[in-house]
Amino acid sequence: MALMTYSTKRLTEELQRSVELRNTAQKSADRPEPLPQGRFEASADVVAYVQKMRAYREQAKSVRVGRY
Amino acid sequence: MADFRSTSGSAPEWFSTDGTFSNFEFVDTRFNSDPILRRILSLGRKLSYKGLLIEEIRESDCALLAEENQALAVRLTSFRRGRAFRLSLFANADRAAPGEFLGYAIYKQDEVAGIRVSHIYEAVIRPPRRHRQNNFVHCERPYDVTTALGRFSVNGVLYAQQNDATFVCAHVALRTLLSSMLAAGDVSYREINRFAGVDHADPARRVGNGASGLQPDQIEAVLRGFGFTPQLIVHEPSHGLPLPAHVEFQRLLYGYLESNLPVLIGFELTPSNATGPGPRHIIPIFGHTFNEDLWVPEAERVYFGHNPHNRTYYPSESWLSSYVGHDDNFGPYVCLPRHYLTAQSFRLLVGMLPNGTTVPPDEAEPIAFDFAAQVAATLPFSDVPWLDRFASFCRSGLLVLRTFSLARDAYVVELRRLKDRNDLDLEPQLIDRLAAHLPERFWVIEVSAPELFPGSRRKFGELLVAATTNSAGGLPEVVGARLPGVVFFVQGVAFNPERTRLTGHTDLYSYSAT
Repeated sequence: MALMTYSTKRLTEELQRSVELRNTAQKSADRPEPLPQGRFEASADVVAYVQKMRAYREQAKSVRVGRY
Repeated sequence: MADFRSTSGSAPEWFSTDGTFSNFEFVDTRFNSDPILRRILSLGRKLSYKGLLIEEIRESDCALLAEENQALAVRLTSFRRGRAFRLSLFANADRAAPGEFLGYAIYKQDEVAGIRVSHIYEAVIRPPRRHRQNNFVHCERPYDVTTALGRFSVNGVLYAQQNDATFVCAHVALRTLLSSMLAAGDVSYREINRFAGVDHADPARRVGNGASGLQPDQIEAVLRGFGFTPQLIVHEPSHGLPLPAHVEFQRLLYGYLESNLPVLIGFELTPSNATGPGPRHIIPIFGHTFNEDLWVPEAERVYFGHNPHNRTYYPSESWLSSYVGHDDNFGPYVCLPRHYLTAQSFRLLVGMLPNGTTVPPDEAEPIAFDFAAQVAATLPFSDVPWLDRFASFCRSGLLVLRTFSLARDAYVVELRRLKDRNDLDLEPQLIDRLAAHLPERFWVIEVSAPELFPGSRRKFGELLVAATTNSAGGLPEVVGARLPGVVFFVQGVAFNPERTRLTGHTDLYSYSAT
């Protein structure tokens, strides 16, 4: 079964779009655009993952089983 | 204290091991067919050893041997005496010019109730494979040995075998782990037993030989006693605490290992008449192999949908083929295929956080990816093709992330070394300003692509996450980042990008060149 995944298809499109934009931009811009400042806040998915692992680690402190 | 390395041996004998010399015959006739010694000498063959020096280490010359024999006399009333022999492996067959020192092993023979029992008290052998063979042993260190032929040095990871009386599998695993982290390069079982609360004279506090092994909290106490901060990951489904869903213990293991720190891995054995019910074993892991042509990373998520975390990026652990460690029952430098130990038998992982670190690697990595995703989502089209490629791979969920801990000074050395294919580097004043901005230690999350990481071992850049949190319950903070053509100074939630002339991809970080 031939398979081009969504990720691979999207990557190919993105890379090709970059090439097109770069070709256009090189003709119109002499100076690079300044990069924008930004704000970062962790996503809800990552916050949930960190909280899940912290809850597990807290619970794990009281579980000591077996001998080695 | 005189130990087995610093004691010059007695009655030296030299053997040329090339030609018709047989390891099997030698071990059968001289060392009671000891299987671990056979394994060690077979590693010698891999290293092309051609000379072997045997010396007896006498109790009167070696305080450590005397201490071990005294401990056995307390533990086993039928113990009579213990003898030790040192086998040193050399590259050349000529005793007058032995060449490179490839390692040594201490064979200890104890007489108990009229029966001779033996074990390999310790061995340091040069790892038989190196980076060129895609083997990465992170935790080796030099050991000096004084022999009848002079003083020699070998780099390796200390191996030890339990005697099942005064020390068991947890002791020898701890010894390997501690010896690779302590400045002294080794630790005695007397010290381990002191922190573990083991008393050979007390039937309730003994180990081995019909008694039991160390409990996880004793392992933890030993590591804390030596000043380390262990993290115990337990998987005890029959005691109400399985690992959380979709969390693989191998991913957690790799996070600790890649910071140049060994880990211990404990697992449950299949019960048998020999072992009784619920037997467990623990071994040290200190390296890994790397499969640059692997099919698994792509197939895992595209064909089979395993591991939901892999759907937004590839953890670099995906290209790991086997973990490298010691198993005291089988010998030094054994390989455990990545998925061989499953959750069915895995029970305990003991990882070490680097000094000054409270954030575990499995928290730092997803935070870093979140930052990368946000940068990629907000970046305008740039004049830097490799920055665009980073953004494209990120938005497509195809980045590769590799996480490890680094001190600021080491990171700055690395930044000064980095060059792209156009021989462009980071501006020195930009490095100085970034160094002034960063904390003393942090997590480095290298960012790469599936075609860059395993092949040319190169990357887009790094994301930097704080090793500690500002408050209890707070999330780890991103403190900086470097991507093609841009360096980010991050303060709280605000990030400020600045351009750099280094616009291409650069080498991955490496702990050593070998």
